[in-house]
Amino acid sequence: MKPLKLALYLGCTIQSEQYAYEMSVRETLPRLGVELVEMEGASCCGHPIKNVSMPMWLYLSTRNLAIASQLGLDILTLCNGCYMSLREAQKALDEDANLRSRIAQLLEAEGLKYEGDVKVYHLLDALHDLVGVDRVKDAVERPLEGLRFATHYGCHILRPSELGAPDDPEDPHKLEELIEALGAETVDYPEKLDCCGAELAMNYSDAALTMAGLKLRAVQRCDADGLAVICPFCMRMLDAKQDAAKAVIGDQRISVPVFYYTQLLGLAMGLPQEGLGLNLNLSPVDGVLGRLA
Amino acid sequence: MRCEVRFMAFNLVKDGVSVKSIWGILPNGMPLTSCTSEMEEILRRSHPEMCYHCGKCASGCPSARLLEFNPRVIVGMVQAGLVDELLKSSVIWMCASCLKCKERCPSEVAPSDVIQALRLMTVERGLPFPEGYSTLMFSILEHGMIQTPQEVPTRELEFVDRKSLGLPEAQKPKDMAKFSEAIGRLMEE
Repeated sequence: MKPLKLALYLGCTIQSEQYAYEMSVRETLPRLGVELVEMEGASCCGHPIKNVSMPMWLYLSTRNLAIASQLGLDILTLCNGCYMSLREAQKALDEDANLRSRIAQLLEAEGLKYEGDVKVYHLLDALHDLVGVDRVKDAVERPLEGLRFATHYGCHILRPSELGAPDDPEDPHKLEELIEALGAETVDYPEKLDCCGAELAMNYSDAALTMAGLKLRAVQRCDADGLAVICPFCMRMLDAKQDAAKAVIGDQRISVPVFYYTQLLGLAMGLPQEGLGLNLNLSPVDGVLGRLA
Repeated sequence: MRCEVRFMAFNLVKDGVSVKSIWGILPNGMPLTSCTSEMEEILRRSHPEMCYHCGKCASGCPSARLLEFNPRVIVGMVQAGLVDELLKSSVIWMCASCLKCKERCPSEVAPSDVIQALRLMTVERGLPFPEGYSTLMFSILEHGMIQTPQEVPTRELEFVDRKSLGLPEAQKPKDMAKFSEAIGRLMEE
């Protein structure tokens, strides 16, 4: 099998607070044959700025594509926001030659150049389509038998599908396949495609927490042992802010263990919990971890 | 201002006046036919005039469930030429950008794109917008990221950082002066 080599793009949130995602990715992916190359000089993808400054957003996304371009590598991003932003930038540049030359001029001052030759992968399609479910299955040493997980894909990995969604935008299944490869079961629930509320948190925090609370209540009702996520913003809302979300919707019965998929992958590969950042999950994960011990 | 806009939006859909009839009377899409700026061009490209008010966008909208917000009404107000009123209203900042409306619109309107264009027009016209965005922009200008690496708690409430977790140094632009110069120039635009 050809070795896979990808430029690891972390973005802001993972490298500044969601350390468990980065740790579990760095522990698991190289063991599955993916060489991760650091993207020196990377910056924010600009996604949150797109609401107030189009040119600033486009510059930020393009300069990260340019860094990967100069490394001669495709990008692996772990964040749904970055994933959408980088691909939207590619579309905007493809469609508008004026924009392209305006951004190219600015990039030149930073010594950067984007040749339009970079493909952007999310962890989900990198694992499912590049590494492959069989290879994930082969790496399992300690199957997560007897555990049932609900999944939360998050919005910006699936929508807008005009960018070419890595999975069916209304009925995604790749994350389920990747969880089942670990020996666990998956549970479907009607609210699977609902938003975690993260993008509303800055302007309307109570409404954002209510969205997270309603999502968590839906997961609790489907009788899952835990929830698997693949985006740092979703993780922050559903894991770190679970207590606040419970308080806002007034439902103290909510108790949902939330994991990054790569943490579950690492556990199934038999890797030590510490290296997977499992002490950083703030939701009640100890019960699940105890069952695996 | 917010109450006024809500009242007008309400009138668009209630009181026995169908939105379609208002749409017929009012100059459909008029403020958009002669584009005066780049942002208005973006609004035009999101095709608000194509909406036939089926309400699919609002039925799946998480913000509509919780806030005084309705993507269909916003698109209707743009059709009715009430763009200035929207730019001064807080409703355009209530969208969670989940993009379900864009995905599911049977007429390819993309209400979320209409809302984003309205946000950009607000900034372009020098009208007030949520200050959180300025904080994010200045953090990017200074550090290249919206947030610098933080100390975070474990479940046992010990505080850890990248170094204590054995993670490599965080990424940031190599030449901050050149980076900030480019960003500064873009912020002025």
